[in-house]
Amino acid sequence: MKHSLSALGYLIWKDLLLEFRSKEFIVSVLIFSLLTIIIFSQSINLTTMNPNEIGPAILWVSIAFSASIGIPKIYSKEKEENTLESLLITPISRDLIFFSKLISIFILLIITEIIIFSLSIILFNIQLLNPIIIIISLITTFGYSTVGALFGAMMIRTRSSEFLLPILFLPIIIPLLIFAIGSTEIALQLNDWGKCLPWIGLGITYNLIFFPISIFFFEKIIID
Amino acid sequence: MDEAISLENITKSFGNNLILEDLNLKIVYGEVLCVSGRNGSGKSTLIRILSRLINPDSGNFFFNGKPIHDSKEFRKNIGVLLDSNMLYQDMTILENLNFSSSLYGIKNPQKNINYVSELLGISNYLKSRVKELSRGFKKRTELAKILLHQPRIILLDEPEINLDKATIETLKDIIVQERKKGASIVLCTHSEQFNEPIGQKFAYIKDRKLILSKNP
Repeated sequence: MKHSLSALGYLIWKDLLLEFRSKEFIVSVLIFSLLTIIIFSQSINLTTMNPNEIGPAILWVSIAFSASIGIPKIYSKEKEENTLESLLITPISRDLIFFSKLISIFILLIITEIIIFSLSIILFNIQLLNPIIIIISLITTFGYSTVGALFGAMMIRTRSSEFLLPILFLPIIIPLLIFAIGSTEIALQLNDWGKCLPWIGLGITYNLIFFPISIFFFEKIIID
Repeated sequence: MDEAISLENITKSFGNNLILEDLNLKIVYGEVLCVSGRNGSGKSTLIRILSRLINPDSGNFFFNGKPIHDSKEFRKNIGVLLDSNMLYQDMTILENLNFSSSLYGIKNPQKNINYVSELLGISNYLKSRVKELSRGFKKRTELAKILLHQPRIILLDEPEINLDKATIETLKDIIVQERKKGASIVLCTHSEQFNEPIGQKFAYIKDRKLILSKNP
């Protein structure tokens, strides 16, 4: 158990170290989502529309699209440098590789979300610094990371993975996207835990379904 | 001598392409097996089957005389040099070796890292990023990486590629040293340099079969 935790820590450290040296994930996710948010903020007349209604949709859709561009970058080193086989030879559980990818994607998405949220507060004048919204974003990001860690692994074995991932990833996360947009909208307008709880239940249920499914299929995908 | 790995009637194909057919092989501890064969004869496939990176279509695989129940225990005991890259290019040699040590649960990695890096002449380059190294140094680093956890079974797929004559001699010394320590080594190679006696047995793959021979 102690060895597994230490190995998991090193796997995450390796992913984050490679990311902070290449900055491929952060740069692609950040640029794409910032551009989307800026374009929407300039093309929508915020004086006639309620930013609490339109803001969450723009925010979460831009994060979902940019995550689908960024997630393949987490696997691109293993793919380009063909290092997955050297991981599979080591005596670690294959689940650890999945957990490390999930946690690495989660950490990187949270970092980018902090920047995207800050910009959204300025551009849309919406109050995102709210404990309910923080819980919503943690649940949503966990879901994105779980599905992303699974589908990202599929991309190692395929060509044109950067085009294919969004096609597979986005339809699967639609329920999560509906949860994130709906619950953020309620949290912004009503700031009421009671009204948000059924939505939060939906988000947690999504994660409870997809987390074990992803663990189950991950090993089958990464081994020929 | 104790049996390390035994393959019985192994068959492997990729799509309609039959690569290995009814292959039988027994490798014991303290033995070096040098496997040769033409390009595409199935040497790399054999190494991947022996390291359990790919599963055969049919046949039996035994480790220490028994079918494998605990795959992790088997992986703890093998060191594999593949024909593909095994290093993270954006990490330094030291980071790669530390990372590998952590996955094998080596408690005092510095001692092992010092030993293998001295052995392969990379100790002055530990802080260099892999992408800045020549191909020869990358191969030396890969060799250092597979020896770190002192495996009892060493599988080498064309280790001579990108190595100069002197380093191949060093590699042969390492093979002899590891054999004397009781390791079992399978070496797939094209190089005639491994034909010189280092206590090895010879085999070649022809028409999808592995044939043992007395001479290279």
